[in-house]
Amino acid sequence: MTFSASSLVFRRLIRPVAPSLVLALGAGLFSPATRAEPVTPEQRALILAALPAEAPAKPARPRKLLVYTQTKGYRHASIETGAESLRLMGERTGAYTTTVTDQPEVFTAASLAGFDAVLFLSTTGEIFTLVESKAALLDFVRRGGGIVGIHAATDSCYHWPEWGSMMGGYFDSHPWTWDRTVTILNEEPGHPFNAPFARQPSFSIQDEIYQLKAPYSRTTHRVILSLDTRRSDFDDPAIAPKIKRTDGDFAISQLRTYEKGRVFYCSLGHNHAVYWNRAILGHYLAGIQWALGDLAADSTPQPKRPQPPLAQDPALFTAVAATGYADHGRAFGWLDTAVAEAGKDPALRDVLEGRLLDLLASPAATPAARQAAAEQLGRILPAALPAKHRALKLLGPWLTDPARVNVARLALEPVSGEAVDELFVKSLKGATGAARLALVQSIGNRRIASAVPALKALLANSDSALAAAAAKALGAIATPKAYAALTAKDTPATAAVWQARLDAARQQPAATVIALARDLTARTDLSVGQRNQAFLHLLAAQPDGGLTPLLEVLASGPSDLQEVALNRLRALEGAAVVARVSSGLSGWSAPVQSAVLAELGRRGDAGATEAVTKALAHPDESVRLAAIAALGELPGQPDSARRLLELALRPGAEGKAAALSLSRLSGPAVGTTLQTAAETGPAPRRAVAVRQLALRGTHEALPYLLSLRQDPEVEVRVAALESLDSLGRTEDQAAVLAWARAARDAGERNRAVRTLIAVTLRDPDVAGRTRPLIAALDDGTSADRLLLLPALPRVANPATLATTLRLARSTDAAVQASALTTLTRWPETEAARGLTDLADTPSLPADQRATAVDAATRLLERDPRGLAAVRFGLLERLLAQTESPEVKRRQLFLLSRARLESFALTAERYVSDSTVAAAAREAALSIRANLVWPPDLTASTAANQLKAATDGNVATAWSVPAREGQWLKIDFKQSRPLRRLTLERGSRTRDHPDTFDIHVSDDASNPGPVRFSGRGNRDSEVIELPAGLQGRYLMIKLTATRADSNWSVAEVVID
Amino acid sequence: MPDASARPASLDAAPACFLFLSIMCPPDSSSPRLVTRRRALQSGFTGLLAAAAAPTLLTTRLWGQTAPSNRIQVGIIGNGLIASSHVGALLGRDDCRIVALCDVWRTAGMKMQARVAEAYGVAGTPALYGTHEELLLRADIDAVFVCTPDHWHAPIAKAALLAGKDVYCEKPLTLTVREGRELVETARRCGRVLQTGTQQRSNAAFRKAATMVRNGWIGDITGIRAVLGEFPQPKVLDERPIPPDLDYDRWLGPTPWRPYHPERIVGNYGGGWRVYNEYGGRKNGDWGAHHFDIIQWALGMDDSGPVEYVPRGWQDTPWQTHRYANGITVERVDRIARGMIEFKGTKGTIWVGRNDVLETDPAPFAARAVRPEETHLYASDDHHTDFFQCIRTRQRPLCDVEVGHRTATACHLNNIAEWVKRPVKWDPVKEEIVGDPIAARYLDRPRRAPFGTL
Repeated sequence: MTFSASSLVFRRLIRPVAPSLVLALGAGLFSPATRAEPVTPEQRALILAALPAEAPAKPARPRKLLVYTQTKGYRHASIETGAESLRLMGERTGAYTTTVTDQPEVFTAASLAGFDAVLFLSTTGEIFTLVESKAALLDFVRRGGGIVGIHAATDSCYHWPEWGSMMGGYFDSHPWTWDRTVTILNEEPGHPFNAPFARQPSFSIQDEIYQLKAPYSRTTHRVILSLDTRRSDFDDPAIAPKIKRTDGDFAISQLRTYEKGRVFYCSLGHNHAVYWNRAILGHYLAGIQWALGDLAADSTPQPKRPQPPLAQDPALFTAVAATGYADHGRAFGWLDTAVAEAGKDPALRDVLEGRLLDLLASPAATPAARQAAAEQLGRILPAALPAKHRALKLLGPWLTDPARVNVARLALEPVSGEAVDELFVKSLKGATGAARLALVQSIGNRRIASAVPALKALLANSDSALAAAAAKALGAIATPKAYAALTAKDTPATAAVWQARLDAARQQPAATVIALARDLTARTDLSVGQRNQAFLHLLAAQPDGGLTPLLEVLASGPSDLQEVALNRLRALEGAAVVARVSSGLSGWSAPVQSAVLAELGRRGDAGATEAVTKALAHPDESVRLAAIAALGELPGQPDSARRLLELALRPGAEGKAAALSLSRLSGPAVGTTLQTAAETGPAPRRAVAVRQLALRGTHEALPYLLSLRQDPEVEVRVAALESLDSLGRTEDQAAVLAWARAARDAGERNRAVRTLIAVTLRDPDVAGRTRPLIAALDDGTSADRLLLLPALPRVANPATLATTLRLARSTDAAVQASALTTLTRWPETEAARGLTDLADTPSLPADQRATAVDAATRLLERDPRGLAAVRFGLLERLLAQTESPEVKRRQLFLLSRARLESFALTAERYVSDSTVAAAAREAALSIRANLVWPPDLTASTAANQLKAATDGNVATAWSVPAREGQWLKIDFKQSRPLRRLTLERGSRTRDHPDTFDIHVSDDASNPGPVRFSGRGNRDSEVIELPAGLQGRYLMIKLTATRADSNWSVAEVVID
Repeated sequence: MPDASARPASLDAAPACFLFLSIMCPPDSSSPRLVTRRRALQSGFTGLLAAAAAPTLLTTRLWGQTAPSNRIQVGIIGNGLIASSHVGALLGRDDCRIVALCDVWRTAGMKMQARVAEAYGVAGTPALYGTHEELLLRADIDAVFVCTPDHWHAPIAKAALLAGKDVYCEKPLTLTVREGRELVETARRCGRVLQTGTQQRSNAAFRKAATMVRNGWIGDITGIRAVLGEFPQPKVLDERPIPPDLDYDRWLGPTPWRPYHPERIVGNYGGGWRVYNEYGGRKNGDWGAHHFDIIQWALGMDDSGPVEYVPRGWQDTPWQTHRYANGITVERVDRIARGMIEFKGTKGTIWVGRNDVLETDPAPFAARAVRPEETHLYASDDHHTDFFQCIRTRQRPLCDVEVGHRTATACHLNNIAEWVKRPVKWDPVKEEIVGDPIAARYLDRPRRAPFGTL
């Protein structure tokens, strides 16, 4: 069969517009419609206006281009636009005539022979099904034909490797959607295909950008356009996760020869507008002419080169200059990158500096751009600029302009050097108002000494802010002349001036500092802060740091000076300091002593031991406590150990402090002193020493502690058990258990059991660690059981639960009672099962069965989801055994979360009991309403997230800003009791509402009156509704805004 | 008053000091009588020293007790999210009293004012100021809490120190490296207490983790990893009208001018002003201030710091990394097995995080007692209590200004490396960036007049 070009065109014209195959892709909603649309007159006009006037090459003969548009996958609406544009372009330039078809029959040797090149215009899917067609195309190109691929051409023929090898890769998602504007690098300004880009290093375009995967490679293809990774929003959270390539290589246009033929691919071409983009059309045209064989171009593969520095791309600065504050974070971020690139390259830095200054000088630049340029100049302008530097010429006048002084300061203040200094000082002369203040501040920051006279003149200025700023600047400059200016007789002695004098005092000779302090004493109107500073300067001016006057102040000085003296003490080093402080200590006031003792402890110098020890007997408790704490930090002596041991016997704060201090006391003989104290002496003292073994982490004492089981003193034995609580290892469990069982003293027994539990819990084998306990319960005496049962809830696991349940049926009444009591404290809801069985056991006494019922009910209440559907069966059984109406009502309430009709029937059986009728009715109604769970939700906003609130998953939530007026409406699908509403938040604990109203009604269009008002808080998710409330629709509406928060509902639960 | 000028001018300062003191202390000033207060604190030292019941002269203030009621009088500067948390805690304490608030946004200030008044009663309504300078003039305020965004931390803290107040400054202590050293110097020459708000150090789990590292329980450290999380990128914001009760110029303070938009200034733990480099250090500042701080503590580096900072992606470095002189590296990763910080050593591993998460390999380490001869770290279990206690004892608190400065330095240097897109080398002794003058420019920022000085 043969096809002539004209008959194909004819067939296309009469073919009805076929419904396109549409695969719903993520961008489908927002990208151009995916139905085939004819080119509109407006589009046509745009195309015509954009067409190149001429082709770059003269065709060797009339050329025929086949444009193929079949899609087996997604169909781009822009295909028609593209086809028309290409056709018109060929016509206008005479480069080629076009045949457009989507019929695969065209791929035969005979029909392909009528064309010079084939252009695949956003074809998709496996467009070649026949081996013959593929062969025909390959043959065509091998023999010298041309192939051009546009955009989705790489989203085609995944199962035909030669295709990928020709195009240079396959489509691997498009992180940049059609509405993104990206920057594309002109990798080769000299390449014939790039001529339309007029040698610009880059251009920006709004289009969908592809990421390519294998067999993309620069070893097979010559890449001439690629994505600028620095200016294409790589950090955008909508884009970053989709980027798979780790080499930063995102090719846009590439070409290769294929035996005698030529293949050109360009990934641009999703948006209609690309087809009336003059430069891109010119780019396509060149590529097409090369494929046709008319235009010469180099296609030798080349490795990737580093992206050229941004500083050298005028487009960067054009973009920045046009950027306003609203775009901040985008183009200005590119400037950051440019500065980073210029980092250590002086030549590049020069270029960047020049362009930034151009930007600053440009009247067309936005104020935002100028400020951004100034900020960057402040980082790259080198120190020691010459006076004639362009930056100084340009920015000098800005320094006296209140509207621009801060921008100029951004650029100049960080740049050290005399020329900039002089510029600031010179500008100060003529400046007024806000500019003058700014300059004064800069001069102070830069410590410009030559400005002192000018600043002095401002000290008496009527503008107090300016005068204060001048004072501050002089204080920073701090030269003798500056200081003299501040202390001159005609200088008004304001608070600012005083502070400046103090600031400058740091750099003045000692005599000056002393004189300053003397002057300051004559003032009574200065702040305590300034007086303290003067005092500290005074101390600092002393050769030895002022230890003597410091101690004098500690002894008798006013308290505000004592404050700072104590603070300064820390800075004085040396044994002599410790010695003098220690000798003076006892003569000082209690507050001073306490503070000094803390410092002596911190220093840990043994020279303080005597003084600290003496302070242990001070009449003031706070001093004694300070001394106790300090003693523990000094090098330990047997004497200090013994003293602390005695003190640890005292009740209250002192005893606690001494025990803590002793536990830290470190020294050669301390350990042995304590060991001796543990072994001999009065029992209370021994007990303290024994407890210290654990506090001091003395693991070596473990055998000794175990041996104390035989000690005659019960207090010592109990102390040993306390220590074993923290030191005991899993392997000691048997010994502790034996100790517990053998102990005669009740207190000792209880302590032993607690230690036993602590040691047991230390074993990571949750199931196995309770075996010895269970063995003791099984084989032991009643006494053993009564001893150990109460401790079992702490080591709850299936085995201990089973043992306890067994013992709850013991014939020994005491054991049975103890087991039951233990079960009432069981931490795991699982125990409700066994408790229900007990409740059902007729042979058990009634009161015990009632206890079991109560305990089971409480467990189920405490864990509203525990045991899942099994719980409702348990509740049924419990109801049957329960006497108390109050407990029955609670059980009915719990039952009302069931979702089976049978439980509704159960509930209804209790309606006849007047004491629980109401609860029973509500339970039945609720259960029946649960049959149509989940409810339908609507809300004031974020409707697409509402599913999360009823999906049974607390990790997903409906989350909106917590603003007044936001509401959530729940349609339970039938009227039902509404007693308790739980709005679970999961991990979003902070996303609670402030105040809210709840409306209930049975009318979908009318929310009804407010039935409840409440206020949310961080700790609660539960809203208790008024009794008797019933309805189908419940709306909760926020009545106040929490400005910085969201309101999140992860799961709605109704009772 | 004796005629001081009659004394011979002498460089022997000791007599001059006594003269100074004799003038400063009128002979009839009462020495403080001793009143003790019992409060058992974990450290065993109650040490809350109370003033005498006699009325105190304002000029003879007894540390942290300007009010006859012996409570520390507190001012809160900045009333957003974190202030709310502090106020909640402070209202529950009986050793302090919130007497003043400051906010550039009147609505926020009034809301806090109402909250405090509800707790104290109308008579206890704190005063509300629009500028911190006004608040600092109050002689009856002992201490201030600085709870503003980061760019105001250093200027306000410095002013407070000069005014004779003790300071609790939120983390990170500073916005730039140079601010930190200035704060240290100021605190020392004013003799004042400054606590950095890195309250993780006042927690037993973190303290135990640091103690174990310090004492070599896990051997030599082979690597440290921390999770800081990620902020969204700064959003494109247009200009909105400034609310009439907001002093936006002052909110911006020393930062470059930007048009107002509520999302620029809103406080939000997941975004808001925290995402902008103008006002904060993003995650390196916000969470680095906590985790790098614990790491500094564990390594005993509170007077020093890391020497090299490598940005993520530099020559295939997978994670932002900083390295100490002894070779120990800290990587900022996406996740670790447990907790928020992982210390890996030749003899074990430690995982530690908030909510008392502390796990070790070998497992028993976490609960094992520290022996007396081992190094014990400063024990505090409540950061506010530590601050108030140090106000009384004049000791340097757990997160003293130098500590806060060194930690913040590590945060800022990591950011600088990220901005200049290359490794940055740091000399912690000279406190200078080595061999990179452009990177060194980022150690400080020009300040917008009229807030043009620190």
